[in-house]
Amino acid sequence: VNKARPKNLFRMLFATAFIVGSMLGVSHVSGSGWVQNVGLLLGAGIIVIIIMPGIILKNAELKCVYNPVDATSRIPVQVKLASNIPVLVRPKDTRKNAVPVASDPDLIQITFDYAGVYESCTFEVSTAAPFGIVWWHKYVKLAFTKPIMVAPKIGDSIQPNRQVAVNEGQSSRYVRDHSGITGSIRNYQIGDSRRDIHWKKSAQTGSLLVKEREKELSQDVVIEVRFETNKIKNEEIGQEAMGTVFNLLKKADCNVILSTFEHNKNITEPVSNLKDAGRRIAKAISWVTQKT
Amino acid sequence: MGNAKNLIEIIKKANAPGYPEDSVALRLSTAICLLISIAAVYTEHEIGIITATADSLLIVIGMIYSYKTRSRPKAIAKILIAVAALIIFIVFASNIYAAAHLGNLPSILSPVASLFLWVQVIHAFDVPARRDLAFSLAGSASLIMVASAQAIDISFGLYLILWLLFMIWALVEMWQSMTEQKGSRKNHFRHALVALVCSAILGTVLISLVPAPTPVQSIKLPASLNLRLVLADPGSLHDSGPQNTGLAQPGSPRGKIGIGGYLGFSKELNTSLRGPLSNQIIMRVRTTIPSYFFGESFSTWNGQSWTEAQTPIHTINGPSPYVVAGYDSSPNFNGPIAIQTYYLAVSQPDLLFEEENPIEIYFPDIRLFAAPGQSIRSGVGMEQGTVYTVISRINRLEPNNLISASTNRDPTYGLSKNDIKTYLQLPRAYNRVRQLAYRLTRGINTTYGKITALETYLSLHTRYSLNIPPLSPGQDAVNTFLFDTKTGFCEQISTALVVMLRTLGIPAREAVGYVPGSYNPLTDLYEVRGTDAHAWTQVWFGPTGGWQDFDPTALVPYANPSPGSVIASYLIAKAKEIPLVPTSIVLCVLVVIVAVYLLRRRPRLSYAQKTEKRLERILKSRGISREPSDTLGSYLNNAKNKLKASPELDINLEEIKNYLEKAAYSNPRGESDPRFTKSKLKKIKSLI
Repeated sequence: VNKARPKNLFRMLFATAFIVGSMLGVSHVSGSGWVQNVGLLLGAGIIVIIIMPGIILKNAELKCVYNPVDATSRIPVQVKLASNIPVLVRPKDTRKNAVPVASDPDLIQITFDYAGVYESCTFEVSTAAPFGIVWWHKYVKLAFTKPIMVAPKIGDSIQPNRQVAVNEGQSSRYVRDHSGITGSIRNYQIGDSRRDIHWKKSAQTGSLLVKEREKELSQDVVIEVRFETNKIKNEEIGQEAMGTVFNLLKKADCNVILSTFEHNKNITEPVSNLKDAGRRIAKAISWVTQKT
Repeated sequence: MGNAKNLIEIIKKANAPGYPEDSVALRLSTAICLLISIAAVYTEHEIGIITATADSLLIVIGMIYSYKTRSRPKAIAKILIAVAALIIFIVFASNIYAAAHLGNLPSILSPVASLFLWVQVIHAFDVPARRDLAFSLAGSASLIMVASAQAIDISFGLYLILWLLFMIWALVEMWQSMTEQKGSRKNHFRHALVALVCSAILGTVLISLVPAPTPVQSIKLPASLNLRLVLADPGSLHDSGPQNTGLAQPGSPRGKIGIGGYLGFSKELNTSLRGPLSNQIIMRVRTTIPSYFFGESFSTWNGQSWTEAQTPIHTINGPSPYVVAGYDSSPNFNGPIAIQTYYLAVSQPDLLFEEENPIEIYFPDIRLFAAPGQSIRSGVGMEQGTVYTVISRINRLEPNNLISASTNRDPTYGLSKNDIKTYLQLPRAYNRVRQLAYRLTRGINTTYGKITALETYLSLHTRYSLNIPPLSPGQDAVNTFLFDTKTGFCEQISTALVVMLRTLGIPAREAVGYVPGSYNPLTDLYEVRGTDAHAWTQVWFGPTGGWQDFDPTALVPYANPSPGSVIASYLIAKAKEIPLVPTSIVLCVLVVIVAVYLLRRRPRLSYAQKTEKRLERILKSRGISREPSDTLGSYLNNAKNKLKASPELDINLEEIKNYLEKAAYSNPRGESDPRFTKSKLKKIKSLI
């Protein structure tokens, strides 16, 4: 992202000038060749020590080798980074201690303040190799292996009078649920509960069969979420939407349909779990943010 | 109140203990750096053996204690350390008050060295964290600096190199610790090696570019005695009294005091023989203007030997610095100032070397002696380790000035009658020499022109050699040199010029001393060796010119030049022009780079491949070479046919072939079964 820069360069240059200058001064007063030559060698060494980490940092290649897809705003998430040269890494604008990263991938925590879809993150990479005296640092925008969808936290549910749209009886569908009328029997599928296995029939037929419970939902609940350009406001809206989805999914007495606005069109699709909802909201926020 | 609280918070924060440092390697390398710096300070005589040993032991104990207690709070230990620090500062202050003198830089070095050292000792008991160890490293650097201020020879370089190596190790370990030992240590050292090479190159460039330091005249210049031995017969250049110390003996052919074979630096200079000169360093000289280091001059010639003028020796009373300008017949000049500090490496006669017109001398004794011929003598033995400084005013005239100073003038102008008699003295008529001198200088009316003409004659008709057989008693050295052998050494050549000038009525005398020797760019000192002893001619140029130096030996070529010796001397002369230390550093660095490159490029042979090579060598010794196109199988089949192999040999060759092929194609690293291969190779060797 930017060029490598030394930290406290002027302090180091001042220290170098002071050391070399005082030694040259002593050698001038005493006429001692050793003092002058040791001072010059020391000065040369310090100059090299000042410059060298910059060259090493320039050649350092940092890459992301693993990152999760889903995250929640303000909750740390761990990504795996690797570097050809040992460097210390921390996310930009954080006061946390930097984490050493070398050729073997190392975990580093990052925290997203706002919901959205993130394809990259800026890290502060620093080194003082090989002597640990002068630090150079640079900011590197690192692409994730796959975009991270950061959902807002689950906030308070929207009050009934603030519910955007509730359409009763317009559509209905069946979802699997433990509390429902027992319907037909079908073959076992991965994810079916063991409690639903029809042991008797399974024993008779020789293949694993499960009882299918059916329940007719009484209504569809459509939650229409619209975001603005203000990140903080969007975070609040997102949190409320997540809270509402969470409550509705917990009650499990309606179809939860989320209506968001992305790519200049309304997308109104049901969500079956919080992860889906989080991803939809993250995408919607990201689209608004990118547009602005 | 609030501000005070803030201040306390800031102090607390600044003094908050760091994370305990667990790296043993970092602690070990730091401790070694400290021990090396203590050894360097001890070698430069800043501290005694007891202090050095005690400090080294305490540092080791302190480092171990710090490591063991790195994670524990040490409130009581900190209080003890604070008390110890206070005591050290009080001792330092009292030492400075007692020992230091205004403007005397060397007098504060020893207390400063002790202060730095004891601070490091007490600090060693409280180095739990990385930053504390970094402070210890900085402390070792300061001790090295203190040692370098006193270093006058190249041996300090050994300590410096050792210290640098361990410093690099410590710093690499520090970075390793910062990165929690991630990344290969080899990689870190590779980077460190690159940094070292770059630093050496840059340092060499800087050393080459920055001019040598010049001592400031306003401070007290170095002067010290290792041992004060008062001479029974001071200023006489020999020591034969009841308190004979042996230190004021002149050189002898036996080389008793290491100067070796030079017969100068005594009351007499015998030109009839010269022993071999040793290559030992006699003294080191720091000089602002390099010149011949004048010891004494001779005025009375007897045909084989020179003796000093029989004029009384003046006492110059101290204290140091002694003002000595104008003590002799020399006029006061207004030339540039030369400051020369002499560090004696061996015991020498009681003679102070100088530029020829000394005005001020720093010598740690109550009196000095001014002998005739501008020679300065001490009243104490000039033992090894003696240091003194001479400030002189240079009066080296350019040829134009020398010509104008002597054109149509009486060459003896400005000298007393007694001096004229002394410096024109000849033991005999020297008619042949006189005729030669007159013939060579006919039509020349300046002293300078005459000298140049005589020098040109010597350069064209005589040769330089040290292999001159000793003259017989009564044989005249000048006549023999000029008309018989025409080959001689510096004393004979310069004596010939003096005698020729005296026959022309020009006052001249014989001077002895040392040429500057080789310059050491690291120490900024001229290293004067026994072989640098020299004799030259001094000619009187009136009150404005005084005694001017002429060195006819410099113009005389070597005797019997052969192509080999000419090439060798040319190469040696060229090699001497190369700055030794910077070139050596660059060459060493290049050798290291090439060695590392070659080592990395060299393919590593597996054990099986080495065995194959050994087998090839065995068969080659029987005249069966392997062609590049031969596979191992075809090569061994060929060998079997050529050797008409017995069944036993056939089996052995087949077995080793199978082994080598299996190693080559089934296991890329090669199987290592030394017992099997060795026995097979031995068997094959015996069978063929």
